[in-house]
Amino acid sequence: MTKRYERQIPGWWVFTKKTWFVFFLREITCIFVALFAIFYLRFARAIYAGPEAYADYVEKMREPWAIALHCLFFVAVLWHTITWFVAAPKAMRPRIGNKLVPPRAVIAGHYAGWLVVSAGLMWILL
Amino acid sequence: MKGRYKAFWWSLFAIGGMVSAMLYPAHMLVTMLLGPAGVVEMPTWEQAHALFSHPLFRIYLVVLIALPLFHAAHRVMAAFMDFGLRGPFRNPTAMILYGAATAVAAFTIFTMVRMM
Amino acid sequence: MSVRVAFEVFRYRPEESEEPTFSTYEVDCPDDWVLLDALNHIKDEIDGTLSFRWSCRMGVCGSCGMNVNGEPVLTCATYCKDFAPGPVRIEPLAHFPVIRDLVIDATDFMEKLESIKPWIIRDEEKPLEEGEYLQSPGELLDYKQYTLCINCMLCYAACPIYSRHIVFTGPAILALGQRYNLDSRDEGADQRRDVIAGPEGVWECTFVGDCSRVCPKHVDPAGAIQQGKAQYLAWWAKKALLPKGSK
Repeated sequence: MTKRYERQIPGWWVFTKKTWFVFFLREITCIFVALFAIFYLRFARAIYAGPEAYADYVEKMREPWAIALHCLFFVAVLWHTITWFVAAPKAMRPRIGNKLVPPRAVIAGHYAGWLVVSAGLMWILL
Repeated sequence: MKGRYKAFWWSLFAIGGMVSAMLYPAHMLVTMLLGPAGVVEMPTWEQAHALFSHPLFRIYLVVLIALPLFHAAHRVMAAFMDFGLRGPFRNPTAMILYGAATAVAAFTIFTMVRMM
Repeated sequence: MSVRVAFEVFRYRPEESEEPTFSTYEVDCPDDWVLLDALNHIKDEIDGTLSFRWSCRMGVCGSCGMNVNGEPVLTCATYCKDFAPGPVRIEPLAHFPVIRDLVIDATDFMEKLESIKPWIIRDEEKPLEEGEYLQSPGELLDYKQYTLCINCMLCYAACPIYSRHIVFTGPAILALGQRYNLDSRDEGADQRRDVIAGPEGVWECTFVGDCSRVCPKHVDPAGAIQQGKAQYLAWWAKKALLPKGSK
């Protein structure tokens, strides 16, 4: 057997191809998801700690750098939602009788559920 | 069968991803952006405390906060493996990541149970 | 009508050198030529030493997959005029060892193909007198898309996980496993479980999705793998919660 020539992509492969980089952007949204989880926990603890703690926390949230950072968080989490609704339907392929439910319908179903839940949440929180 | 618990860890990733995808945007919009920016009124402490003290909301908070942490831990672990982390560093890294998620989740449960 | 296209072709001749080189050829390509036509022209008229695989030249045999300007494509389905004037870079199918020039070593794929047991498995075969296995159009739809695979291995050339972790079973083979597991006539899911749901199966996939993007037959192996994850999760949960009740 002649000597084979081996080729392997490098460890930084996510930066070598556009589609791979888009994949990487989708994956790192999870960091912002985790950061929001921690933020919300601290927010809850500030509420439990009393009116002064709550007022302090809200003051910090009002600072321009905080709002700017939170805009970035929001965009990242929104990207998580959008890419998740593209990916999750792939794991489910419902069939009704003799026809497959088209993927668009499954994705639309996700968004519909998301809108209902979000509307409910906003009604509660506002 | 080798790798018998991979399905379990993936299920945490999947549920955490769905919870955060469905619920986080609305929470973020209201609490982190519209409120502080002044577009809507931030709730008074009495209003916020009333909501956050309700037992059902406490349970909801545990789900809202804890599950996506495992989603993030799983995804970060996958990212490290994609970058080439295999071999002897793999298990310690996994334990640190999932351990951190577990610790914060436990702390969340503790908060929701104990703090008034 | 024809256009002149420059081709930069990967050359590897182990008896001459350990390192590969590139040879450049200028070819006048008629409008209806695909890359495979140009490669055959090069071999017939310009440089007879060029080695490459091809067969049906119509996109059903899966032999002519190569990396063109970094993208895995079937050279019988890609037109030369889209690259004029070039140079267009033609390399062997990515993530496989190279035997010679554009010919890759597909042994790993072949072994995995065998491991998935790509045939209908029955606990007991029905005797001929009892007639055929009946299947509704709906039951056919459950797995039909995954039957379209031509084993061209473009998905392996697109999968970054496979490149860096060669023991990963890979998109086409996992989709093929699903093709049989979802077939209502098949009863062999248990026998495929170690390959599909074992440590080198679906769980190694991080859903980059490039495999489905490059598939010339729109098999959507990425979708098959995610489906596999959900199904095996359900099986595992049932087994964990009702250990005596399930198979």
